[in-house]
Amino acid sequence: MSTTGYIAAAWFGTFAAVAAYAAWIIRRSRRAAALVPEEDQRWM
Amino acid sequence: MDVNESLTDDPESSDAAEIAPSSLDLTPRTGQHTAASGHRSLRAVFAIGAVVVVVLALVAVLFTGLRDASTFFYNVDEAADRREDLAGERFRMQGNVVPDSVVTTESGVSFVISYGGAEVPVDHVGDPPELFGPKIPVVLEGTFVGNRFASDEILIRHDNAYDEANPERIQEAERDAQQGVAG
Amino acid sequence: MSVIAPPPPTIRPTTSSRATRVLGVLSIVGIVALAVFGLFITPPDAELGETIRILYMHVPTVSAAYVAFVVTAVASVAYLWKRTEFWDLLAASSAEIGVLFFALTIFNGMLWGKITWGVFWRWEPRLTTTTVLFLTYLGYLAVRRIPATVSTRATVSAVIGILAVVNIPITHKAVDWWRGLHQEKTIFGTVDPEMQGTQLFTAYLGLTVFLLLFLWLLIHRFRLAWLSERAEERVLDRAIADRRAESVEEAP
Repeated sequence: MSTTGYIAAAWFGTFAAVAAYAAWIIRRSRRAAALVPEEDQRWM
Repeated sequence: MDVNESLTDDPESSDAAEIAPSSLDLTPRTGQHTAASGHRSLRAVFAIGAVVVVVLALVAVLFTGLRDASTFFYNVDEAADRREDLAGERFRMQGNVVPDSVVTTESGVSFVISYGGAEVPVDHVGDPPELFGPKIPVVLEGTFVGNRFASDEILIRHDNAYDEANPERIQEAERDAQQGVAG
Repeated sequence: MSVIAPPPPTIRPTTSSRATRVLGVLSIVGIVALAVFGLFITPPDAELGETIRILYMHVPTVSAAYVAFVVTAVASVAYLWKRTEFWDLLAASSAEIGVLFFALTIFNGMLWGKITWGVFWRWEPRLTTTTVLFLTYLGYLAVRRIPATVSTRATVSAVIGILAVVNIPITHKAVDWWRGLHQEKTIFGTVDPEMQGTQLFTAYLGLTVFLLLFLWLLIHRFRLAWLSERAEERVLDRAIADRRAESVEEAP
């Protein structure tokens, strides 16, 4: 792999991982929020 | 129990696994309620298993890694001084490639490496890395064979000593970099 | 029979608020700007060449990870002092994001090592202490998953969260204390007057972007942790109520 390939892998891998983690949080939040009444979600 | 349905409709959900209402223990509890409801025993096995694996890995890393942390490499002068002790032993040696000493051989390259006033001739088997060249600080992996060092891995070092030891290389590199941008 | 009400039809993200939306927008704008500067505008480094572009990921991720682990330690101290759920969940949330960022640091570092040193990995001091640090926080997260009472889990993990932070100065100083392959100071460690303006700007931009991302993820992750605790309580309360109802029915 060329240097460009390594650079691309580093940048893409980093932001893909952060995006996947954010998506995971959102998914789990939706499930958990469905079980919790609105008054317990004070930040809304 | 419809409790299950609204929760486990997505079996991949980590929440489904965490809360696991299908296996809720419905017998009245006497103590404080726990952080983990659900199938405690299975969850406990996984969690404790994970902790054990992490602890074992930590022990392994500490023993193998830190044992020779202080001697990740010998400088050329130190290695030359300890030639007898190191005979037949595989170790790493650090130094700068002597300019004009690099000769391509059938199996790789031969060159002289110097540091702290000592020089050792090296026979390297295999292709040297791209950044390999005269004056470059390198760490070699291999053994002493007589007075020569038989290396099979060249690691390029990057550190601040590089700047101080080779100021002219920086200027060359800067010039190259600017040419690279302009071109 | 009891039924937990089906979730109300909702499309809004459940852990967002005005603050997180602002942070989210700033983070995304920052990422785009960072990509433009880091990948295109900045010149190749005099010494490192194009590979410096990997360091634009490597350095801010490790900085953000260290910040995350320090937040965990501070929140752990605060938990032991105040004994409130807030500090426990904050410590846990921050540690998880720290582990993510630190894993990315290692990933980027390995790629950089392959093209500059010639190898992905060597058990040299900085990399060894880095592994110890990483494993310690994986252990912290694993310990939190062992079923225990809320207060036991919080207390044990607070103690680990405080002890684990000692790893940071050790890892940081490893390059000064022992000989290794890793450079002694990362180029961004000191403000190098020789460093070109856009390179320095990009380095600080990267740091800002990853700190914003950290804060954004932390707020969401904290709210998720808080929701999960409430959800578990409710499931448990239901179960107890059902059990009581059944025993009333069964009674003659």
